[in-house]
Amino acid sequence: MNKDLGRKPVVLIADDSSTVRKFVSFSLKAHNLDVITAVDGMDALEKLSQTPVVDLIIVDLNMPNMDGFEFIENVRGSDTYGNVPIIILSSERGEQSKQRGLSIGADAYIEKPFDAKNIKYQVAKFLNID
Amino acid sequence: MSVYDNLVGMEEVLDEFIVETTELLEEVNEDLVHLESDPDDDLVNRIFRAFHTFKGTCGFLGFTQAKDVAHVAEDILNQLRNGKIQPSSAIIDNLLESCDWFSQFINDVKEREEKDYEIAPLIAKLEAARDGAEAPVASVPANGSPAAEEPAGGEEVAAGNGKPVDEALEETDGQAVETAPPAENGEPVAPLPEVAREESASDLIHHIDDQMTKASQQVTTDNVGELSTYFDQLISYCNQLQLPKMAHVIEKTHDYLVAVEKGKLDPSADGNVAIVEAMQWIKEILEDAEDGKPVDAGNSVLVDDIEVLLHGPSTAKDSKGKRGDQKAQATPAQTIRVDMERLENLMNLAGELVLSRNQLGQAYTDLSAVKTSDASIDNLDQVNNALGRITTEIQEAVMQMRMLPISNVFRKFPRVVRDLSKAKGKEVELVLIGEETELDRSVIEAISDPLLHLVRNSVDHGVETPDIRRAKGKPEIGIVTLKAAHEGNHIVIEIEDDGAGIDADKLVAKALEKGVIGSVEADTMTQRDKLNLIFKPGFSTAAKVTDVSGRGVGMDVVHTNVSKLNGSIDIETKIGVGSKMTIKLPLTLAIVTGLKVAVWDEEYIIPFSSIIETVKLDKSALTKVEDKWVMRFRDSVVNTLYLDDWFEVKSKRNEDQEYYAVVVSVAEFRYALVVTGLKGQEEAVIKPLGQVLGRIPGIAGGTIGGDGVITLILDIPELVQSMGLG
Repeated sequence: MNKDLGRKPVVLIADDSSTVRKFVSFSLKAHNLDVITAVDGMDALEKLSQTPVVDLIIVDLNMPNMDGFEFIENVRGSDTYGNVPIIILSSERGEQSKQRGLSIGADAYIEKPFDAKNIKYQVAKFLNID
Repeated sequence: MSVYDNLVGMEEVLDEFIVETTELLEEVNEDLVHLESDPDDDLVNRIFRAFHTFKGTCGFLGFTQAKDVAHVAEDILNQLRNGKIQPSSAIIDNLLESCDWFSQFINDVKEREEKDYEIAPLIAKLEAARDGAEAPVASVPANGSPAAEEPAGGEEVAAGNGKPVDEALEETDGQAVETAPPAENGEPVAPLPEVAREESASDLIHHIDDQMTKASQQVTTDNVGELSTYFDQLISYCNQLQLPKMAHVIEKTHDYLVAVEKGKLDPSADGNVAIVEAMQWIKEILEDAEDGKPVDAGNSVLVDDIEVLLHGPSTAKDSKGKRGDQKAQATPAQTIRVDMERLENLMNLAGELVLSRNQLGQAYTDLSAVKTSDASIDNLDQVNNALGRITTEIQEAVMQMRMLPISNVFRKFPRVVRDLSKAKGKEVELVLIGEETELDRSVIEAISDPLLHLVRNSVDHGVETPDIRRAKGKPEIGIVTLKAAHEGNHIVIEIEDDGAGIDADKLVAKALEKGVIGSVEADTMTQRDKLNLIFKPGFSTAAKVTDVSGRGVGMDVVHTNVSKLNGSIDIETKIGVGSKMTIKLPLTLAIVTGLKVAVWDEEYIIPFSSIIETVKLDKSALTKVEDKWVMRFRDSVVNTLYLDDWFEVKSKRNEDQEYYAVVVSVAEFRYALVVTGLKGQEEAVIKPLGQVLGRIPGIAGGTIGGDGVITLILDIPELVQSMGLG
């Protein structure tokens, strides 16, 4: 429970791999967070519009239909969700995609292979929980 | 420490990994075969993403070797995506091999087995494939300029040193003349056509403009060929200059022209507008480039317009998703995975509900017979009807949930046919029809191997080698057609080839030689009997056992499996023309429609799927041969069984009693079952007999009727087998 929010924080995960979705939700649910999953950027935007409140977004870069970059640009351009923190979770190597992601408004970049500890650390940081 | 030690408590994630990887592998196998015959950017992207996902998931789960394999495979796809290598048959082979490796690896993960795989040779092969075209230097003729400069250099020319694209195009153009045919992956590439050597992009546009003006802005049958050649050339310029977005737009335009050229589309006003627009757009880009503006741009409006021309309005919105992406877009958000056990449980509950409904119906009938004029009885009638309707709908809905399209089986076959025909030096085209046809999951699982065997047989024994086919005046490419369709409560699957056909007399000779049949038997065989010999155990028609079909799993196994499913299999063949195997299966194994028969005081249900016909028993047609009854039936003799004998039912046999024979078929063999009465049709939900009784040979299960009485449902194939008649 987050003291400031007074309720369970909600995290949206967008990744086209069901294994990654499972892994991340598995790691986070254990820490009393609500998790919503989406299979690509398009789906994630839809889920965002359907969910009253989202406190954090974790997004993959390489996805079909709408990739992570396009998704982030869309979110940052939105009045409602423009300020939700975004963590990129990606197996893209190299500074280039990291820089590009951060420049369009992502707040953190976790490179695969990631471990649960690192994800939890980043999530805790953005949600202001232990 | 084992990799699995780190994953303790993460079984859920590991299971998801197995499911996802297995599904993606199936998709990749299918896509790769497809890519070989029909190169397509969307396919390449999809395959890329799959390997990318493998790399990521294997990485964080700690499967480093798998991650390494995925990594190199991903690199290859990246090269394909950038147009640096082409999807040659050799490259597809390599990628398929990595899929095979992954399948093996996933099987080990399922068993939680950790192995140290010998991946170095595979990695080396993949790396060679990846690098094969990265350095085409080796095969460039001596007089050529260093080709290594080409891809990187091209990019610089276009984007880096600010030269106008037109000039850049000409430069690359010039290079193309000098380097002549660049070799990709060791395979010679056809030299660029004449136009490419002399003309720049703006020249080409000029030509297109010219052609269009001459034909007063119209695409006609006269100019379409020439237009398409010019656009084709523009595509290769864009590729050389690494302008993928621009190339994509021009490709679409080219696709449209080719469709018109091949007569698949008629020239239309909308088409003319699109071509003129495309031309204007390319011109503008060239002009912008001269002003030093960035060059690579897409044009989604134009692409959408052309998509509409090519595929109709429905595709306009997702010009990206040609094949699978559409599928992917439409489904994942709306589907969830459900544990099969839960589904089975729901199925059972629905079955119970049907039984309760039937009992309620019976109770109502009994009650209304006693109390006729009562408002509450009328009310009960209504409720009873409503409950009946809803129950039927629930049952159907649950059945529907268990249904899967047969594409789940079919999708494996393109790869099988590709590999096998390659190994046999044959050319075979596989045509799949009715992939969307749905049937019960359990039937799908059971039919998968028999179908695989039949498809292999068609390629291995059916279709002839190209030289033989040529000699016979047949097209060199053989066609194997796999077709599924619903027919009432059945699904009919046909496997047809246009190969050599089956010589029935050769089968007989072989059977005689192997001692499968005797010479007396051979003389009395009908054509059907002769063909059915291939279903006899230990019978193989191939002169020598090949490594493909001769794996010990013969046609007899196919036959047994089909019989087990209450199905039938039929052969049609014509020598020199081809063969067709027709398999007929019930849609589901959970509900049986059957004939209720009486055996004195007992009642049984015989599934309709096994019944050929029923006749009044003519005792004069019965003879006893070596302790067993046989009956003459429509010019043939069938084994006959008195069910009262078999089930030890208390018999009241007397001279006046009338008997009936229910003629059943098990695959292609026929038998007669003697009963004392025919009671009519019954729809029964099969319930297992429970642990106390266990499995009784010949009994599929029981069903509880509206009156609460349990009726046993016969399993005809098993019955026949346990009687020793099979």
